[in-house]
Amino acid sequence: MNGSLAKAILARIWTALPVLFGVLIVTFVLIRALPGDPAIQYATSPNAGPAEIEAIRREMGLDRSVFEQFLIYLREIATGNFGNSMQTGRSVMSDFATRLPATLELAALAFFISIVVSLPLGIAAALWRNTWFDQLCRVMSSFAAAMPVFFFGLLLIYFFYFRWGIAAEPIGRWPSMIIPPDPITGFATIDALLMGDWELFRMAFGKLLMPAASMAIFAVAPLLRMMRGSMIDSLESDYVLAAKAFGISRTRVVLQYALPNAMLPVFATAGMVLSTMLGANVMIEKLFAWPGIGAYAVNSLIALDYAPVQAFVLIVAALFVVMTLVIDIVSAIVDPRYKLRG
Amino acid sequence: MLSFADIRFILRRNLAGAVAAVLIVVLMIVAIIGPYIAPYDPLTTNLREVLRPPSGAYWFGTDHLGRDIFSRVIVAARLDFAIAIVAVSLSAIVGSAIGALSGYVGGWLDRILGRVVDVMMAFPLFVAAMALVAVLGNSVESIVLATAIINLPFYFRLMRAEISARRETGYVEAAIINGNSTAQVIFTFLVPNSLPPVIVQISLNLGWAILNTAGLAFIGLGVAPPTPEWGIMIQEGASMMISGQWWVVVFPGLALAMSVFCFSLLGDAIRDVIDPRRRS
Repeated sequence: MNGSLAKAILARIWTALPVLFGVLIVTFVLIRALPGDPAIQYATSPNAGPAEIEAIRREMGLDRSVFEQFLIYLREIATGNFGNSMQTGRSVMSDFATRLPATLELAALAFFISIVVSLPLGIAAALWRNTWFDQLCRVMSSFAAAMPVFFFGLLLIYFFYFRWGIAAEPIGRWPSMIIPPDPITGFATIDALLMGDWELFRMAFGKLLMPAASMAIFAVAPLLRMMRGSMIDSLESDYVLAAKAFGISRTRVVLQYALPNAMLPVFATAGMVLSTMLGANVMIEKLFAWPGIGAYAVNSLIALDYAPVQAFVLIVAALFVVMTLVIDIVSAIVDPRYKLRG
Repeated sequence: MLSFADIRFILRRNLAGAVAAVLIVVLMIVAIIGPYIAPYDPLTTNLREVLRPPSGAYWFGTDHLGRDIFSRVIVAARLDFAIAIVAVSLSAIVGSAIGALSGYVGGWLDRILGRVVDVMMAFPLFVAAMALVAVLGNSVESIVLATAIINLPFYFRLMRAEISARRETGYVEAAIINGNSTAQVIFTFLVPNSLPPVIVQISLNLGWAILNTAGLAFIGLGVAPPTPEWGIMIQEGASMMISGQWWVVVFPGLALAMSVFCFSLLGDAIRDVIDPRRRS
């Protein structure tokens, strides 16, 4: 890595800071704009007495200026204190810690499925451009883009569970007749493997498949389109023409020259899709009664329990900013032509 | 703006776009006259006709309260379309106006607005909509406002880019020399010339807005039962999918998917005409 690149990366990180700061301001305003008294939301139980609430109000600095309140808010966030959930009676932080693995596991498999489906199709559509296959991919990706994820999930449930009976019951993470094992990592499939229990792994994986497939549907269209477009640009480029002129075989031209150069925009799209997945999984988690952070946030929202909602919004947005930053930096390191937005 | 000849050109070149345009017109008509042509009252329950499969009497079957699903699907079109149209118009008008100003004036105003929009874009759309509904309260008005706000950045960025690219052109200079005020230069010379990409965006956005409204209703935000709305109908039918009564979910789901599909096809078709380089 040379000096000018390091400088560009530092400059890029520097531009992400105001955005992160803005996100913090928005979530700060969010909890104060919400109906209800923030002190009550931070109270340990819904039936906390007036004396306790008064103490929390002083502790949170609600009797002080907005600016001081913001500083206190920053300190709380820095120490990982997101308040307490009225519904579970526990701190939001510990609720998130137990639920995050379920969400990550689901999103990871969904992401994997969408990559495995869309990239080969995108490459094939680019190689056989303007044939019936290309048209078919185009129609399929338009359908996938218009398909509401929760509707697609319900269609899967109907066919694979009700009709053909080959899928696991679409409720929760574990079959209802077994007692879930004590979490080691919190990832059901990894835990099962660590315990060396194949039967358990099969169950956990079976439960994951349908929600993951439903979630994958909305990532297929952007990935397929980007892969196709980028591959076409690459195939029409001068270096591919040159490679062909040297008499290199078509397979090698495609795999060694065209494809690696077409991957960069796809990589950027994939990163965006992955971070969107973490936020937009709300509907799927709700539909499949999946015990992740999305369902937790929306259930809290409906129960007017705002501390978890605020934490969810903050965490997802921060993740989004960091993800964009990482994609940008990795792109710049991998490809010297890439211009960092600074 | 699109002239009649342009529209004919789109239709000739792009069959899918033409079909989508026709379907959208049909859906719009259904949305307007829906309540008058519905064979049954969409809210009247009939406990003797619960969960009947599609038949001559009930084209789309009945739900768990014996309500006619066909009537509910066509009455729901009005609410879903109205929310989407009002929200997208709001965000197109406000977003484009702020974007135009930002792109024309430049300087510190442009930098600050740019940062604000960056922050807005940091929130995934659906999560932002959820948070806004939490603040604004769980109502239809909140959904409209939330949808308008989350889509603002797209129009802001589009219009800003168009205007700053055109700011230095000869016709703008001529307009300034002729004594037009800044507002006149922006809104009578620059904005009309920058409209085509905004129109593409509006068509795509209408689809997303419908999807977003239905998604929020599905998780219990915004529109509340027993109002006929596609997302709510799908949510109410979700548990019946496991016991095999597919029609409760499938018909509102198809109506929803078809509307979104038509708007995105139309958007692609318009883009093909306006910007041949970005043909998908």
